[in-house]
Amino acid sequence: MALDDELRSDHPMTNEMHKLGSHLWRLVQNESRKVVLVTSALRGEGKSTTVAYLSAALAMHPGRKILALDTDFRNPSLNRHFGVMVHHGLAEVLRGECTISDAILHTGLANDGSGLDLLVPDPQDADPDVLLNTPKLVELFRFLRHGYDMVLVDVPALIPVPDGATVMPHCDGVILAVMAGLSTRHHVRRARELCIGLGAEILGVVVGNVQQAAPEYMDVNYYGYAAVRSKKRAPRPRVNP
Amino acid sequence: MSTPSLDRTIDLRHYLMILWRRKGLVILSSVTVFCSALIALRFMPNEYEAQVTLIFPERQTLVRPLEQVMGDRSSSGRASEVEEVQFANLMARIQSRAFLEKVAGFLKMTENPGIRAAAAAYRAKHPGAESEDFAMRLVVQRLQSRIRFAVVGPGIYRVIVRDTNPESARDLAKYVSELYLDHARAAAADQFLAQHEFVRDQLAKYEGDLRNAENALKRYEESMIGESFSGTVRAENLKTAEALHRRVKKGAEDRELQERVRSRGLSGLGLAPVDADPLCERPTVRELAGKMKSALEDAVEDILAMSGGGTGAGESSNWPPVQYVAVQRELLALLGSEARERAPQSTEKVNQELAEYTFTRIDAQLQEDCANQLEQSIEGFRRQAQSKPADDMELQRLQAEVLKNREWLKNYKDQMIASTTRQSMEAADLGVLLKILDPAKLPLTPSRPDRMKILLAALLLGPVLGAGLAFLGETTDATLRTLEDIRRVVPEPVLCTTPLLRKLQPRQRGLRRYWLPAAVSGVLVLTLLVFIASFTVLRGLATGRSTNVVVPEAPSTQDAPSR
Repeated sequence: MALDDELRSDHPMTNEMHKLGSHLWRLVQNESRKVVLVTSALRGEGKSTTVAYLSAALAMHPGRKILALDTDFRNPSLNRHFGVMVHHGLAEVLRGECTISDAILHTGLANDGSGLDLLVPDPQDADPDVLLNTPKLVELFRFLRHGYDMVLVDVPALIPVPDGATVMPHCDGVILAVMAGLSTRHHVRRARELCIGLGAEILGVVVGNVQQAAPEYMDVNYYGYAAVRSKKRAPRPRVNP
Repeated sequence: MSTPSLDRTIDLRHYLMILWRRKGLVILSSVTVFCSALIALRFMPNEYEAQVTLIFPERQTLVRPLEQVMGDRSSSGRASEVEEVQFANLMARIQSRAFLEKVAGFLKMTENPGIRAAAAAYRAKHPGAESEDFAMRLVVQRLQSRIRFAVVGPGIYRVIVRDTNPESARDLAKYVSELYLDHARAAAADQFLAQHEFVRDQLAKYEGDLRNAENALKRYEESMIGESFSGTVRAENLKTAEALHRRVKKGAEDRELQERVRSRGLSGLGLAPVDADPLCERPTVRELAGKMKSALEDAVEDILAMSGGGTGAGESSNWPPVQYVAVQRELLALLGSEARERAPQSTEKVNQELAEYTFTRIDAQLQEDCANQLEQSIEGFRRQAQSKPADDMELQRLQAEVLKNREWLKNYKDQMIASTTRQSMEAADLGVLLKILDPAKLPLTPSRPDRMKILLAALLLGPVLGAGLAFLGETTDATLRTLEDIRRVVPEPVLCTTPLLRKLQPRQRGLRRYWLPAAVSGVLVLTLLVFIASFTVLRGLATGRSTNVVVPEAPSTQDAPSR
């Protein structure tokens, strides 16, 4: 199923992402919070998935120009969600080897100059500590703020590595991803303390795996709107050719 | 708006999910418990129970009146209370150390090699201790834990003995019951003897009470008569006493008049009445004066005794009496000789006059005393006669008391005869009355362990234990699972909740990932531990718990306790 088709279905993931997109878009309109960072305490708690689906959900509306930025040089996964090949990546941009426009990938969700773009790390070996502390990063965020209606930043987990803490001061808000059944309370509490310590404003929490934690939240049969409910696992979003 | 009642709603699915998440622990626990039960049953020795039913006789009705007289409380209660007391006595006596020591000695249980080894080990640790004493204590302790009791019906009780050897269980139950019977008989005989002693003491007490009552009555009757002349003045001879009093009084007055005349005569001879005093103080004179007094009192008593019919003997009798006159003559002669001996230079007439004056004075004094005593007796009798109604009541009370004591004594003697007869009968037939209703038999099937029950319990206990461990693990698990957990840690709003898109990769790749191999390994390890523990424990039990009862060849003739 194509990404736009999937996001137009009644899948619980899609509904939730539309709700979250609406909430964030209101923040952009009202408080000019254009750059939102998505992180978590440890790896595997749904950061990249959230960024992928959320950016796609936001870009489905016409006239919105959205960019998904992956700063996880250690385990880049955003491109895998969209199934795109990277020729010039973020590392080259930060090293000054190519321009930002050359590194930006346009997804199939583009529409009249608007839509979803990606900026992800290239597969070359890179030192994140060095790259993320270059002045180019400031220029990058300045460029993105001017060029896009909203930028979603995928960073590594906060507790194991310092990459997220490095990128966080350039962002307007933080969304904390928590995976029910996997995240522990002391890890999540520590991640929250790190965010607050860095002066970031936590906009909210995205909870994954909630089908086991709170099944009633995901009951799509409510109000009888579950005509096309899929019992299969939601497919990975693909970019239209 | 908070809805606390809704917040407290219990979602059963939540708990079922916890169990499902930790199903490995539940399965591991179930398998472990069941395997442990199987292994324990494999090595657990069978235990056999031999039982003896004893029946207690109903109390004999003829004994109860005696026990009520003696204040025995045991027979005054209801039948259920009596049965409770019987059952308690049965348990206390059989479980008592003295009785079990007798059983152990009778069956030579201390010669068991296991007991011997344990006693030797104890003595090695405590050099000052007696190994025999420890062996006996060990046997008694084990016997106490292996004997139990049950109520079958009113007055019917069951003694149940457990042992790993069916023959030992049967022999133990048999000899415990027979020794208890002998013991009970001996105790009953001792009780009868004590009761007999008590009855005899009570009988002696009642006899003493009756004797005291009779004596009190007699003393009171005597006290009513008066104190003088031994109570000879009574209503019948009051007139005689009054006539006699008049005659004695008149005689005393005559003698007093003669004394005055002779006193003037003495003055004519140049003597004074005080000159007669030395004569009066002479021992021979005093002795004879005493005889005169006795003769006078005897004469008065004789006259009063003879005048029982109130015929006026006091008027018609011979007075002064003959004995008194004879003593008077003797006294007069003695006084004459004493006067001459005292003053040999005086003339015969002076001495004669002094002797007669002295005689007259003594005689007047004696008759005056006699008259006064008679007067007091008469007055005492009259006073008693005036207070007769109160005396009659006291007399009647004393007589009633005597009669009552006689009646009690008679009844008590009758009861004692009846109870003694009954006691003799019961003592003779005690073995027939208190008897073994159902003797010990060889148990054919083991009573323990109940394998089916234990396996079913293990089947239930294992999952329950696993569920408990699962919930315990859930409470100690720091993983965030519900939105409530997350809200407690992160106060910021939950913007959205997403489903699981791919299977989670658990971070603890240990037992959780490989729970099946871990469960199998755990079962094997636990099985090995249980096997070692069971083998160790059962080996100790095999040497210590087996009774190895040595049945004596002729227990009833030599070793059985005699009454």
